[in-house]
Amino acid sequence: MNEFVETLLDLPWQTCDPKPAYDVVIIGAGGHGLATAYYLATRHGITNVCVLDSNYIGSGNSGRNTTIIRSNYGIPESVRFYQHSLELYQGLEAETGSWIMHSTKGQIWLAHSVTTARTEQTRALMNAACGAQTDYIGPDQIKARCPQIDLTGGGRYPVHGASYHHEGATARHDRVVWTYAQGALRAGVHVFQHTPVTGLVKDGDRVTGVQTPRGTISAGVVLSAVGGHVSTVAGWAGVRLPIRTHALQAFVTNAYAQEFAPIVSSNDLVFYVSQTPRGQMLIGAEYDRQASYRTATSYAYLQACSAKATTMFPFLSKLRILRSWAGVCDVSTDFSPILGHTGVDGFMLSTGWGTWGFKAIPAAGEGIAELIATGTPPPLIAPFGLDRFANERAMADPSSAGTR
Amino acid sequence: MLVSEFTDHVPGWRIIAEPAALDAAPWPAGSHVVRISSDDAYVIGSVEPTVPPDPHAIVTPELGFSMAAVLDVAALAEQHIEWELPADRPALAQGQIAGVPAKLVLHADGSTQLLVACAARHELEGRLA
Amino acid sequence: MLWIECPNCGSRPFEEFRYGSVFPVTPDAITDLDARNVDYAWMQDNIQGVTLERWFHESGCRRWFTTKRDTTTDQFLPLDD
Repeated sequence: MNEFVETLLDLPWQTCDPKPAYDVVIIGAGGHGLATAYYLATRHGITNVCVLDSNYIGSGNSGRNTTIIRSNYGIPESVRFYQHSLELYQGLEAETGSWIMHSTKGQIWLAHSVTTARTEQTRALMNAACGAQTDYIGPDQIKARCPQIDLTGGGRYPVHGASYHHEGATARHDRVVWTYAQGALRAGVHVFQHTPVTGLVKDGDRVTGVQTPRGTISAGVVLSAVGGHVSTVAGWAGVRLPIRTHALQAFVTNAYAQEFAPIVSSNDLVFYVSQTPRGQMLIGAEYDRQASYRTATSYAYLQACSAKATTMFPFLSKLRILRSWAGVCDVSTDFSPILGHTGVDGFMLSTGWGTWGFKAIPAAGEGIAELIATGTPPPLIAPFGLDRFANERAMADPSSAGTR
Repeated sequence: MLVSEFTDHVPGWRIIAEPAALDAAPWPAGSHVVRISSDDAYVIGSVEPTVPPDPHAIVTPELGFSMAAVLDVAALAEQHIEWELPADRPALAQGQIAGVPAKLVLHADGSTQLLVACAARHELEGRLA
Repeated sequence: MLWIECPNCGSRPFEEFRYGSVFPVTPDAITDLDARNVDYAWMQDNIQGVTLERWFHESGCRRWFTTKRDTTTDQFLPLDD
């Protein structure tokens, strides 16, 4: 991590080397890994925990997302899970005393055709029934919430209506990572940066630890909370995953001096836009079709994505692109996360976070922590086990990501 | 002006057959034949269709293309084509022109024609203007 | 910018193509028929390295072809090497 940033944070790093054994070893010190460690320590009193990262904390997808928190998903299990996560985010500042720059903005999900309008109406009803406050609103109400929108969509994408998700929010991604890191470290969890895991230690069929350049570390449970490279880690344990890794790009513009209040997505055009606390407009679209581990950005993407965004928001054409980046996302074949047991003793997963991982950090961390502490997956994460594929209970939810 | 006026629904035939059969087919006089791929020939012109020596050949009218004469190939390539044009003539070059899928028929006499799907003709015309 | 060699049309920009799929391979070690079906339907090799896959030249000859690609660099490689 940047040394200047580190002096501003109160992160009580341990000064020792990794111990030879821990109750729990977590691979990946991003939001998910650190949240799991935090909840293990604070909810269950399990502090003999070690979190390892090949780079600095939050350097993977936790630092490359678009910081949107919402729960308007397409299947009831997902809506309940993400709604719980959204509520944990709402209470995180009060719980930890640490500022994550949480801001409730409301999310507008545009429909440009009669068919999509029906999809959004269905979404609103289903979300409301599962506890995620969502209404279907018409063009006038959209304009009232977001005056910058061109309701004709440049003449090509007229706005028929939208589902409006009242509690849609954003939070500062690194502050979420630092908050969980701080909470975990204060409770006595060990977090080691720049300590890549190079293999798993197995005893028969059981995973009993991890190999690192700083030595072998034994563990009661090894949790993979890595982003982008989970197929490699699971491969060490002999577990095959329904995961494809895709690169997802996003970018920010220079600051827009006016307020842009909500988060706006479009189901037909496939892009989303929100304003960062610095005033920059943050824009993303779909992930690259081909599987890839490359975090390069491309002008073709910026061009295609800008074309969509300026169609709906003409003011964006006066701004300039400041920065673009890409992350590699583990997208599951049914577009839902994969959480918990793997069929290999001592090895658990928190993966399949695709393009929907940031908003899930608190609920996934809490759920996995409870699973590790009690041995039983709590009801909110139970439907997302890896065994669902063999049991013909796949959680197909392709339309619920803001990106496809 | 990079290209002439477009003619919509250029008369022609599309013939899908074994590559060897297409190689051996006796193409009618007055037609111009381009090979979209080894198993796909596009016969341009209002002529009787050729049936190649392949019992499974598909012969079907092709009226889906618009055509224009390219007035300045070098300028078109410089302004609107990212990829390299073939050096030899005659040749068919396929790919995006001004971001629109299109084809260039490069004749042996140095003249060049531009083919584009009728549905995309207005879009391409707008982008070339 | 990335370029792809279409066997029919030649080298063209990446944007002219559409990705199809990798060739799914179910490991021989999985012998149970049900388990093989689950693996075929859902599981992915997700190779970090050179993969063999199908691409479609959408803006050109509109033909599918097989190519090799390195998923860590997105470089396209010739088939015979």
